[in-house]
Amino acid sequence: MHPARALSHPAWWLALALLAANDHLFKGAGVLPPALTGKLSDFAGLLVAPALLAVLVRARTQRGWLAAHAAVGAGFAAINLAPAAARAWEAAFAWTPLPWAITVDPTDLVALPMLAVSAVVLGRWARRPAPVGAALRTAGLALGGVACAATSPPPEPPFQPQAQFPWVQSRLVVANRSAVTQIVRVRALRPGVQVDCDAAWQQPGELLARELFSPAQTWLLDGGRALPVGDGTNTCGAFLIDGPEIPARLVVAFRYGPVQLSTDASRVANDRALFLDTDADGLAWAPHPALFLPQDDALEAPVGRCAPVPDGFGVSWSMPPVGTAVILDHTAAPDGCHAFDLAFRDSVERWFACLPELALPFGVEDTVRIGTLNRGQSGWPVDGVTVEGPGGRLVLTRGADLPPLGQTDVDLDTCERGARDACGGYEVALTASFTGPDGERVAASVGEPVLVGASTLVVARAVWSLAVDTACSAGPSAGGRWFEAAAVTPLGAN
Amino acid sequence: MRASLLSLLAALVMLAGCNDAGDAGAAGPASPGPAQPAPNAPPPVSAGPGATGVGQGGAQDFGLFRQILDAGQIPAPGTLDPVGFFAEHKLDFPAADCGDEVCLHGLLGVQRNLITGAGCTVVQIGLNSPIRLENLERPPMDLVLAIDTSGSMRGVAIDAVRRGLLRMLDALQPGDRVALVTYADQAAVAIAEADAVEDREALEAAIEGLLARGATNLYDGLYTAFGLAERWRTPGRQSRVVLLSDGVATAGLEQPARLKALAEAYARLGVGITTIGVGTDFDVDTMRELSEVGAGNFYFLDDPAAVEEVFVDEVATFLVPVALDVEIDVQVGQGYLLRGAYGTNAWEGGLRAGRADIPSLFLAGRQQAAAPIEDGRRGGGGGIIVELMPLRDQSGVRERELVGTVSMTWTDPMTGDRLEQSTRIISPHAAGELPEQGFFTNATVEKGFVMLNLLVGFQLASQLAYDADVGTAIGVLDALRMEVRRWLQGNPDPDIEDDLRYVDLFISVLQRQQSQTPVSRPPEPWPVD
Repeated sequence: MHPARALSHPAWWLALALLAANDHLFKGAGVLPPALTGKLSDFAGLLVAPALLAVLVRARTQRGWLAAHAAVGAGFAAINLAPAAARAWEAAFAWTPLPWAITVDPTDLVALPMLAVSAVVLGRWARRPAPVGAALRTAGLALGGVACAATSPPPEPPFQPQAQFPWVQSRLVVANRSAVTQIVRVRALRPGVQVDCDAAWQQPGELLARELFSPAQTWLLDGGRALPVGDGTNTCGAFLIDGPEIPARLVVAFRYGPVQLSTDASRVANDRALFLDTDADGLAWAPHPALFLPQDDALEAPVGRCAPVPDGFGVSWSMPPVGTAVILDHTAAPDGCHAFDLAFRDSVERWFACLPELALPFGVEDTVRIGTLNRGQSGWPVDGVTVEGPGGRLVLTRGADLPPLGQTDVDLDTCERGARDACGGYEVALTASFTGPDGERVAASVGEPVLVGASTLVVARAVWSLAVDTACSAGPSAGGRWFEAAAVTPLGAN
Repeated sequence: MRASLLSLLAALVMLAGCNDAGDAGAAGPASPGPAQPAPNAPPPVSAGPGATGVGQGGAQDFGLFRQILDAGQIPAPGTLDPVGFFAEHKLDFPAADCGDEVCLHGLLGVQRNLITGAGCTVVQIGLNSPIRLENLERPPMDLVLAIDTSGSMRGVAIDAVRRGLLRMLDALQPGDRVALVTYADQAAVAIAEADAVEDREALEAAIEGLLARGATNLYDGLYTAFGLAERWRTPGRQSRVVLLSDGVATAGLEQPARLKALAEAYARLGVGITTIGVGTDFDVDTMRELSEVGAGNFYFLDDPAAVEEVFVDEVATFLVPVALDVEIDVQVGQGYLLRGAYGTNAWEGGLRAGRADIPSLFLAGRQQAAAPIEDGRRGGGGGIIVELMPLRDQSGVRERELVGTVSMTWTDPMTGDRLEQSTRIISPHAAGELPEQGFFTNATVEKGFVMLNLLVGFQLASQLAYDADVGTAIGVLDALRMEVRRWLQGNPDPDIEDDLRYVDLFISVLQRQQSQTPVSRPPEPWPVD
């Protein structure tokens, strides 16, 4: 056994080169993630050190060869498990020109299998009868010794350059490739905003109105730096980004999962970077699939059956006074709202109900029974109120379903284009069609009474919501349907 | 609230648009100087102080904006209503000698903006009237007062309302009819119908008997008041509801959209509405919108004591419309494009033409711009400012001197006749040319130009502060302050001087905020959203 022969193995030299390059070139340069550079030296070092030790102690037997490996392994394990051992090692090297600084990290023990690789692969090479040149032996000893001794640089001061270029968890980064510091304003969606993300990816300009975004976080972004956008918690990874010199763009990043990204503009992967470059007209965005133009102009609203319902049109009511009462007075205003003065046993209360034009099955001096309803035709939740009078039952509903209409199938047809609401939300009109037991099919246009079975139904609003600010509009959630409707059913029917 | 981002957009469009015309001359803002007539220029017209301003309804002040600044806070974007801001500025348009009771003026201004120095071309649309308020003979009116008597009105507010209503009785005339509706948990009719003079005692007793308690059923109050007004409606008489509230709806139909739909429906029947918001807890947007759809005015009274005056003001001036169903059309010359309009919420425009449909025009209170400002609202009447963008390529433009045409049609409230006026705006300079000292048809355009810069500066600063860019917000206002001060040295004006006070106040509020939360480079590690 001639351990010096191991120093001629290409793998040993390769490990030595990797150890030196990693310790003195890669670490802190931002080329590779810090987690990787930290482990690379351990793997390479455990291939270099045992053979070196075996040569130095002149091990001539297999047992000596293995003992050298065991000694390196034990030392390595000790300084990565026991702080006292690490500090003792540091103290031992403190007087040398190459002081050590050891970070106790048990996860470094993952590199220990390299000892087995060394023992087997280099050991087989060491048992070969071929001679080893003195020059190669000397060079190996010298370079290996220096590389191992100088493996850890001294502790870094708190504000070393690499601390300014951290890696952060993010979907994308805005990378400033200009030489000038830029003011960048980043707006995430408001907390109460819900958006159908697939639809937002397809038509971001239409769905993501400016009103849906929060106040900006404003950053000064130096040239060469990158700003993370989206840690994975924000809705659809959607942002509105602009600045005094930066053209406004929508970013929809939900298709990019959060990963560790460099905040150094020159080191971030191209597919994760929204680059800002200088061109003849000033600052410009480089093309990227997640960048979209905001659509600030009012959208051209669809017409006909797909037209948006005007504000103030719909079905609503004041808190219903549940119970049996006599209608003392009934008036109606031109906005479609009715006021009923209701005499209960102990009090008179005024109740308002707003609905499209519909013949009511009760009038002044009639006795009515008022109740509430929480499920619609298909069992979906609704807010509902029922008023039973001598001529029949009036049902008013707001929610994810239409009023109960008996044995009737409901089909919904969605318009291709939608419109923005007053809160910046986006919704697409629906048309409901009804097929009764007799197979007859009728479609309900908004505001038009239609006979469905024995009931007369008026749909005041039927929409599929793709973006909604729930803090602003009392209505559907995104990706959900919303109906406001009134139905009158004669007594005895259903 | 949602108008906030649109406001920024408007402000940025304003500044960006002006950049396009800034090719000539050096960069940097310049104070508007005296108009420089070119050899072929139309003679500058003289202002007509003494003509009564005409306002378009909607917000009559920017009280909320002032109140927030006075409290040392930063107004949110959208707080400053352009209509209210303009309405507090009296513009002395040329003499109202058109022969009608409303005179239309279209005036030109070309100058660098006071914030970035980019060139601006604006057309100021002014309306005034030869009617003198002291000589005004108004037709009899039907007035329904809907007064919030919820618990929050208890104390100073309800006392001020009582005093204000009693003072208003003095301003009413024989033949005027009054009804009084109160609303808290429910609405109640305190006086269903009373002659303002003959039934004075009953009215005074009802007013003195106002008590504050309970919730705020705004819809019921409005519904009941409109119902009474509609029942009275008679051709030849003014019919109007005055809604006073200090809070948001907490009972009945609470959705603001329902209130708006109700006001809109009755406006179509000829019953207007004026809204008065008292304190700081009411829904400003809803009250403003009600007045806009209801062909009336909106008053923001952060000090309840100001309620005492507002009923008298309303009866004395604003309840007298001088024009109904007003349509103002603007057509730009071939050398220009139309960028936008300020000072009206009724604007709808394209690149070549735009229009504003205004339900009613009213007489404004102040006769001259130089008249001193009393406490509270300044009055004035305001105007509409339209921004134009000169085309870079002027080849093929035939009438190069024509900037645009402004026309107005309206219905005379007394006769029902449909009337029309129009005016052509001619420039002595080529489109896009920026004279060193600027060009203004008359001095009032200069004032309008400064007003516009102040409006845009305030809006921009609010938005920037909202976006945590306080440093830039201060920069905007600093630039504005310097130029406005310079302008005031040669053009003393109480309105602009008062505005400048709020520029200074805004800056100091921002500086205080900046010292607390400086904008800086992202900390390490940077926060991610």
